[in-house]
Amino acid sequence: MRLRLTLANLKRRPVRTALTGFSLITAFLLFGLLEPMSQMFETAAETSDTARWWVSPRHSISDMLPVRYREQVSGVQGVENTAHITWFGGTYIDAQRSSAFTRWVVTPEAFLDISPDIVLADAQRDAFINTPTGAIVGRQIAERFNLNVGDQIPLTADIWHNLDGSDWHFDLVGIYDSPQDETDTTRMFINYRYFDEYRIVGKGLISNVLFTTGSVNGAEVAKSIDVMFANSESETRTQSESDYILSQVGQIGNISFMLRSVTAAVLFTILLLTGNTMAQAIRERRNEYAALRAMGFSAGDLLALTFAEAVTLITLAAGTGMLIAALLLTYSDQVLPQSSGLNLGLPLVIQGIGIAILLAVIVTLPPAIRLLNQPIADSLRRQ
Amino acid sequence: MTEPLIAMSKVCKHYQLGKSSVPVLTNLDMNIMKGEFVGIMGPSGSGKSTTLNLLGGLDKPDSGTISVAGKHVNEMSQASLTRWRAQEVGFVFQAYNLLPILSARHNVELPLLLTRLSRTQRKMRTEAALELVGLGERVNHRPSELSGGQQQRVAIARAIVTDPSFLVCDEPTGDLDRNSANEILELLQLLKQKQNKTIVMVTHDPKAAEYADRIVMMDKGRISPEEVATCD
Repeated sequence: MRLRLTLANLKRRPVRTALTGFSLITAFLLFGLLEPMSQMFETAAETSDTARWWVSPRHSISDMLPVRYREQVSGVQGVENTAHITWFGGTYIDAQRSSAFTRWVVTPEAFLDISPDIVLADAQRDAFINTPTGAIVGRQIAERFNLNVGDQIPLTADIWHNLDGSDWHFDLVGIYDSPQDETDTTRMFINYRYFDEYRIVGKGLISNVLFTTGSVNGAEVAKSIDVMFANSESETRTQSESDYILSQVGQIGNISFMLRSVTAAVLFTILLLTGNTMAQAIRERRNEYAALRAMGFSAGDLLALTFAEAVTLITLAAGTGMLIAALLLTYSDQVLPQSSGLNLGLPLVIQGIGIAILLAVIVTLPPAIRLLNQPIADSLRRQ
Repeated sequence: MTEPLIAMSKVCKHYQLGKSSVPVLTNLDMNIMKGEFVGIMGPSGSGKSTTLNLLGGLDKPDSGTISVAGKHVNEMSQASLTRWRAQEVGFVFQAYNLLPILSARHNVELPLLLTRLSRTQRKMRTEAALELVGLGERVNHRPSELSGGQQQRVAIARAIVTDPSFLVCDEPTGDLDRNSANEILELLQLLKQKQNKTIVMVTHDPKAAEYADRIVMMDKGRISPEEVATCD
């Protein structure tokens, strides 16, 4: 009966309930979409290989380092393995975001040696090392673009034009997987040999040197490297991989903070909107509540009834919004490969439901308590 | 000599209107016997509704005692008063105060939610109450689908469904036409006669008051002794 009363109250003004419900669904849809993104930015750094270190140009990411730096880094005490990596950029198919994925140029053998997060079949690994025009892509990219080993991948250059002025063509020699689900398989790696030979400018220049230190304190090694290149033509800044990723994201501000701010603003707006709606609904029932109190319903009974109504509406809407978000995230990687790996996990759903219940408490308590504090006789008198 | 069911003794009540204190009831004494149908009349501001609110436990007096079936209502805490109302008092309001979103059956069932009755027992009691007020055929209708007289019948069914000691009726026929009003008053008389219900009714309508066993005339917060009348 109490459930019947709660549901009947929700159907009392169907248009108002529907509009409030849609607003709440939209708010929790945004929560469901933005919060996983926010967490992704935070966890990207956490899940990166912390044993790997990046030597970068000190002043700008658009500066380059001489390729010989790799040899010099190799000579620093404590450095175990080294490789170098260069940002390729370029365009695959078209400039649409749906065709976008990241492309790097690497020295295959050295790079694979310090990348345990890239799992490649032995034959494909050999092919990558031995094919100057060879390239490998992650599993998600291969599935997204229906690429198979043996295919040729044309890329239009935006930084690194080749000698004959035409598009670059790379031979797909391997498709890599990841030992962990959260590791990125949306990248393409290109063999440095062919790239360096045929690029018009920048021969002998690279974006970064990568190295591992084994059990040695990486921070001390990093400091030694930066000291070594101080006052040179290309000063360096050496960071762990997680710090490097954070600093790259930081180029466009604190994304996680910005996303959370948007979510908070939306939820706060919804709080005001829903609060106003609930206050109005409760005011309209002043006489009914007074009659119920006269009959013997306690203030607690009526508070519970009002709270149940708000919780039902808000949690149903929150659940619907998060369900839509979960579906969108599930299918989003087919449209936007970079979004792959985003998902609305159970902790976030629990967090969302918690926010919904908190919202229900905040919007219900003040108007209900105000109403229940009025003398019954006064409320009955005001017909 | 039989003890009265309701006994009000030297009851005073005042309301605060801005900075001034307005007396509403002054040393009011009133006894109501079990099974009695009492009509309270008087001009606006005479204290009729305040008296009814005090009797029904909706308000507390500033001084004096109100005793119902030997219990001192004025000394009860708010929580006790709430429980007491649920068990002992049935309210009938001028504007019916039914929940528009519920059917007649569910409106009548509402007070039973505060009891420990099973769903089946609640259903039986609800149907019996609606039968008694002559609405056995309209149990699934919502208030908006019923006439004013029928809505007031539902309200009366709701008031008696818990079998309270007495009914408090505040202008129960105030919003009804003459015929409907007479039907409601006859129903109240029937409840008094068949179920020995004690009924206290505030009304402005002399014709409605004629249905009462006794009329208490109030003026300026007191009972006017010379105007206390007893009907046949």
